[in-house]
Amino acid sequence: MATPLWRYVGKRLLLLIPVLFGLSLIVFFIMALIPGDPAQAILGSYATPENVARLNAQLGLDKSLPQQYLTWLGNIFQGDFGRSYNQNREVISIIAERFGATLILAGTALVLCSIFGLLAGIISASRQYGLVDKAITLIVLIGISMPAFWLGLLMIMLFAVEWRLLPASGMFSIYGGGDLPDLIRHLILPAGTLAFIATGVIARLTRASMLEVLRQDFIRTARAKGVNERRVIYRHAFKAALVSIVPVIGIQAGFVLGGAVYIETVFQWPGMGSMLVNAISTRDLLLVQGGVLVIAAAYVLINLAADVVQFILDPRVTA
Amino acid sequence: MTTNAQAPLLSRLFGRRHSRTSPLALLVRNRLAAAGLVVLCLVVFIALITPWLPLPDPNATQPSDRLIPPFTTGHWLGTDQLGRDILSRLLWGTRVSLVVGIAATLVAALIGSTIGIVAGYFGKRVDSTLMRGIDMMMAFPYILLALAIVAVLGPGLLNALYAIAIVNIPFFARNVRGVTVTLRNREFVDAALLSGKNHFLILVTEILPNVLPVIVITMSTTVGWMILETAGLSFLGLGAQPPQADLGSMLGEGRRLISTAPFVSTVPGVMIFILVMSINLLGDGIRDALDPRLKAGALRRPAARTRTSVEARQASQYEQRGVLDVRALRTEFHLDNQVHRAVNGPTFSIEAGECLGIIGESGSGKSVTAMSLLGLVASPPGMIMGGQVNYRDTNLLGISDNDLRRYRGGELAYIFQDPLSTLHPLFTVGDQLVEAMRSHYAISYTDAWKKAVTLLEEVRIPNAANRAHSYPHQLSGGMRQRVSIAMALANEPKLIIADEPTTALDVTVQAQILALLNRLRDDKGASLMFITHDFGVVRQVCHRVAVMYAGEIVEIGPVEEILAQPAHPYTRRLISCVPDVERKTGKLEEIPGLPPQVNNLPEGCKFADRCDMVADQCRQAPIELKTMNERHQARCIFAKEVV
Amino acid sequence: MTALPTGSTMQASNHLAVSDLVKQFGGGRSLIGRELPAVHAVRKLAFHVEAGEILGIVGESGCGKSTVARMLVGLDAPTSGRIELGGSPLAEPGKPIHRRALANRIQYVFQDPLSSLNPRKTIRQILTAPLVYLKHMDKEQIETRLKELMEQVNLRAEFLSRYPHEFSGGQAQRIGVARALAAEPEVLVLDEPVSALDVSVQAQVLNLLQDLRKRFNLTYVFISHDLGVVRNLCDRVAVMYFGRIVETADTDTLFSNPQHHYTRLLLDSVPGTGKQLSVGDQANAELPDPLKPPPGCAFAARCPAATDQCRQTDPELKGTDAHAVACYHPEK
Repeated sequence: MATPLWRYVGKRLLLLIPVLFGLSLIVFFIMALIPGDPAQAILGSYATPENVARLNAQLGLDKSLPQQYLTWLGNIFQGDFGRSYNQNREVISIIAERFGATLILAGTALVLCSIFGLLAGIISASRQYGLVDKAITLIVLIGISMPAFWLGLLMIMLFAVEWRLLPASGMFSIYGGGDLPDLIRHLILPAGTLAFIATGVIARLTRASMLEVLRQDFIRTARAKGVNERRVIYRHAFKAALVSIVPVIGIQAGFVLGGAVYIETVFQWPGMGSMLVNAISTRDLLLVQGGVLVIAAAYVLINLAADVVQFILDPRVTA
Repeated sequence: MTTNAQAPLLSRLFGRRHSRTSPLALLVRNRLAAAGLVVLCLVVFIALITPWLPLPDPNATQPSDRLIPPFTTGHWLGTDQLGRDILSRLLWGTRVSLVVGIAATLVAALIGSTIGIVAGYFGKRVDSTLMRGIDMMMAFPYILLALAIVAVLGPGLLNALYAIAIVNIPFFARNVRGVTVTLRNREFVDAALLSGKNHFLILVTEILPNVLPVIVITMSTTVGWMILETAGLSFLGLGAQPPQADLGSMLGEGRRLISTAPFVSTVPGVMIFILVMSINLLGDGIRDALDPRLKAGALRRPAARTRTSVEARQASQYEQRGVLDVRALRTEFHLDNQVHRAVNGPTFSIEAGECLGIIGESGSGKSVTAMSLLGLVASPPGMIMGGQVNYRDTNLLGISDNDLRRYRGGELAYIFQDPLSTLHPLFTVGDQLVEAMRSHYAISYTDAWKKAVTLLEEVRIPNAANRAHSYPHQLSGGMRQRVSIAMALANEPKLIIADEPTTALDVTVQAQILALLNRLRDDKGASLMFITHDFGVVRQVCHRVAVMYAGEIVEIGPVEEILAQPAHPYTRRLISCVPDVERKTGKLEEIPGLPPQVNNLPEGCKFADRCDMVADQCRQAPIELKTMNERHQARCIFAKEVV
Repeated sequence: MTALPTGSTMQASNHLAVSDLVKQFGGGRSLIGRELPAVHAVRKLAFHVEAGEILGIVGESGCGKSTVARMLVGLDAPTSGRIELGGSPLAEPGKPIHRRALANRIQYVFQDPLSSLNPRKTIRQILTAPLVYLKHMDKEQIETRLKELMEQVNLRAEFLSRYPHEFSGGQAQRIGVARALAAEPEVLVLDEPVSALDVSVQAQVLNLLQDLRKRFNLTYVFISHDLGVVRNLCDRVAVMYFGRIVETADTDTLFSNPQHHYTRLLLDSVPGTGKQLSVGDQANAELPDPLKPPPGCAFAARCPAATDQCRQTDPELKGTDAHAVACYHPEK
């Protein structure tokens, strides 16, 4: 078992190279599409002509586009994402500071929504058209139809403003915080909100794949050989359903990472999402570029992990 | 993976000529979807007539009227921080959000579907090039790409629309490509090529009409999402720019007043929720209405056991003959307010060590009969209405679920038709054999594994100890069927019910499997019930045979006697229309017409319409089984005694 | 009368001939120049069909019989080899296939009648397509021809306005036959046309095919795995195993005097012929790996008469038109 698995992981890691290459290409060329003088756009309309000229030279904008790209890529390999002109800091150090916060938020939300989504889906499917199924379906539908940012505001209104149970914003208390319980208290609302929104897709998919699988011939075989119904559902059906659910959990990671943009803004969570929104509204393009690239790379890695899980689950997947 | 147990069976039974319910009727019947439709129509209607409503200018500021609470005369939903009328802004904002959401959906649908259909149809290099690009787009987290696009194009409603549309292209491309690939492999595309159509014509006239429902489904399930996302961008200040209102920007502006004037953000929030919720309800309804699988009553989870009527469960006990004694079994399918009577009272018994063949054409009810014995007919829509299945002097239709489970795979075992779809794809065959044993006996995993290997050797699988570690897809069809047989043998059954076990196999493999079954029956002394459509197979393995037609046994008796002197006209003609491999017969004797539909069975003889001996009395009343000799009966008034 | 010109098909030269036909799937080289695995579906096939004759091609799944059928009608391009009809080439190495020209002369009947009819088209639309695109008929001609076609396959003309799902398998297959006839071809390739049908319906379709052949002097290539059907319908039979023809003979000769051990096994495996099966219950029905075909006879591993020679070199098909066999040690 070990050898094919590692061969698969190795192969997938190799395949990662062109994907990351493509990502960088897209990000680079989106930025190259900016109309007008890029240096002007980067520095904003108040920049002095000297600064514009200096940046143009610094970015190598007098060279051809492919040359620019190669230089840019070379820099990125050395960890040089350029400087944020609004904050006057290295982009990489801003990202380093922010990345952990997003990882905590999005990671927690992803774990929560996977657990609840799978559970809700299984229960729903095994009691199709029962009362529990209907209740779950309704809650799931509400989650899918609810704007994340508004739900966040509602949470703040109820839990922070009205009942004063939980902090409304931030990652740590300004005074006397900083420990794990403090972090968890701050995490509950944003992660809960994000998870609630993201649970819907997984729950629906789980329900649908469970129903699909339960109609398969091999389920009838399991019943015909006298396997009890609990085992039919949790071992035979769930394992087969999981094969189609796991890739979606990977995609759902992207949804959670994207949703973090709203949630971080609403809860003033000091992560990559709120950083990006600020960077976009202040047209801090190098920061946007770096942020997008890093999150996209993280997302690609998560999906790779999902594929590896898939490989372990399903013997029919070949390397 | 995608084959499923019930669909072929159901479509065989009801697929042809069954009435189709129109998608619209299905939609209206779905109450939630209908509610969504009503709410959505209302919102759209108000948005449409907004310009003619007596509303104040949505952008007119009135600093003296800041933050008036709702339900005040003149400002029914209050005013915002600049004194603008919230009701007016809400309605105008809804207009904007709706237009942007729908426009983005249309753009994404058009571009994405085109990419998908072209990639799926042409395949190969076109496919891989296009789909690589789509994969690249999907490598970005969903909203992030939209953010990057807005970052470049600059904030603004139109740019937000582009961003959302672009981000959603992959969804359409992937869905449409998936369906197109399936369609491309359907033979009607080849047929169109041979009819002289070129690729463009085929794409537009053959593929597109079949892809359209998928595009509609994808649109109806993503439009709500797109409205949410545009609102989101506006909320972040990247969409609609002040003073223009859309639902997202209203929420964004109200956000700062969350503790002092929560209604400023609540009103647009509720509106977004209502709008998106109604769209999603409708979208689900549309999906359900257009999904062909739902029409056949599929996607309903089959219960662990076929529903059984009270009458059948409480049938009185009587003296049992043979190992298994089935009396007047009736199984029906209840679909679309119609009753399909698949099994209409077959009565038969199987002696110890005997092999009884059940032969019939598709739709004759032979498989449903076999599945009914241990409650394995999918339910819904199946239901056992009456009769008895007696084993060890107990009626299996009346015992508890747990008692029934003990018989299943224990003393009574099944072998199914297609060994690829009937074995679990994700467990090794050894594991599946072990489970069969451990569901019935307390036996350790290692002991059970050893026994599993012995069983695999017994069904003549070469190198059994290694093959036990294989997954079903790693074995050939014949090997898989051997595994199924081993599984049936695992708990030393008294009766094996084999449902067309060799139909999916090649003739040389079939010969081996039949030889194996014959040997095992001799060795183990188990009885065999063998369902098939092939008289040759019956002759090879069975002692007696029951011929089924339209859910009834029309003739039952010893195999050689029936083959030599068939008493029922159907049996006679069925035998003679099989082309003989031993001699050339010239013109084959065909049976005209088709079997009757099981939701509309005639009163009298079911074969009357196709029979060349038919007389008036055939159609008047149900025909009883007539005795030919003590082992041979036929359901025909013209049947003559066989000596 | 738009029926087939009977005179032209009477010429003896007008037959379908296949030589050195090869089809590989996959293969080629990857981006980094490594050779990709190729499945050898059809390996150096040669046969011919006389005008008005029915050639049966029998074999089990994976023997390549359907691939041959698809190449004959131009749905797949041969990797190498020639296909000729009446002396003019239909497929030659390195030349693109003129599908329309081909479709006018040789047509195809599919295995799954329902899958070969577009569910969203009426029978009229389905049958009209070849009349428009291959025969370039005008509206009036089409109407007449449609009625004629329906009559030829024993279906009522009012069925024209119905959709495929309203038909039973047997009726749908007759529509498939009508579509193939619409192009007025000389040759019909029938790929397991009755294997999806129940026996009572199968007989209806087989009888129809017999009648049509006599009526229009058609040439059939009839692909099947059902030996009973082949025996009753075909004039000559070619037995395929693992991408090659192992034996070909007149039907009666082949069934009464099979010489290849595989043909013998096939005939012995047919159940219910009264005689006890000589086939054992041992599992030895595995085909060789199509990615790595063995150097010798593909059947050697299962053959009772196999020798070292069989395992090392693949025997050529040798004999007369009336009976040829690819075996070093044929049965007497």
